[in-house]
Amino acid sequence: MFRLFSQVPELLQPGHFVKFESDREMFCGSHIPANSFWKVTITQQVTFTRSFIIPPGERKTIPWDNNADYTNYMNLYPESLNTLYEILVGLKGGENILIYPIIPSDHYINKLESPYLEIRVEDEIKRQVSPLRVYDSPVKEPKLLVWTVKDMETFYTRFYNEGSDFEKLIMHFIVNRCKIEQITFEPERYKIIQDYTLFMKGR
Amino acid sequence: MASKVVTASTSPQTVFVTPYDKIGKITFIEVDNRSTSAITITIKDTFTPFPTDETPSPTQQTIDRKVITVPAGGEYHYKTDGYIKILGTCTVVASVTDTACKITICYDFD
Repeated sequence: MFRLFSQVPELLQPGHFVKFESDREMFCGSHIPANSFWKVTITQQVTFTRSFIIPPGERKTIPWDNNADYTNYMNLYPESLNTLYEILVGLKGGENILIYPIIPSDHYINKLESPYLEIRVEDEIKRQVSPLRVYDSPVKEPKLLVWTVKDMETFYTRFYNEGSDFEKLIMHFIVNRCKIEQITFEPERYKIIQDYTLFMKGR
Repeated sequence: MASKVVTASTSPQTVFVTPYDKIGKITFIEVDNRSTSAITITIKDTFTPFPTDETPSPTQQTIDRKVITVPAGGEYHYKTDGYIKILGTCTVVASVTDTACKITICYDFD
């Protein structure tokens, strides 16, 4: 799932524990049971960079799952059942590009509770609710984390260029590939990875 | 920081190609026009945007980033502090072809 931290977050290391918190039977529609605990056994860090030149006043929605069309898909989902991707996202360029996390295909994750401020990029005020900008997670001090597991519902990011010129947004990913195994006890310390449906209920 | 010197030509002279994961920044421009006529220099940026919802099949774009006219026998020096950004390929086009006019572009990638 998706979380913006106030400082650079620590990545998972071998021996760390995670809990996949959800109010559904399975975490984000994947094979992982809700509220189950898992131990990280091996990690590997893989860097990956994407860039997007977006015309002024235009938008693009990119899915994060895997597809042979690697231009239009991020391909940042694991293929193995026992792999967790913890993805640290750094942003560069594109000062006027607004970035929205979306799941499912047209549902903005982060929003206010006012029914009068439903996010719409066509509206100059409503588009200001929740977008990330490059300074929220700069490449030299990334603060945005995204977690993905195999067969999770498709996570998207929508870009909107509210500037007056073409802008190039560069996304630098540090993918912390974590091999994980389920455990049957509750460890003393663990990192919580929350299902987006918990956010939808205002938690 | 790198630099390249090209001579004035009416056909585009490539100065640099911005890497996929970088943004090019022009930091300094110098034109030494020893020609007998004034020459207009245009710095262009050529790139293909990403397909968007509004434009699913984008075409190559060429944007003029800076236009300079230098009189005959004149010089031009311009420190830009990197505010001229190049998203794709940076080329220089002149109003006339003349080897007596030299254009120096200093640039960096961010």
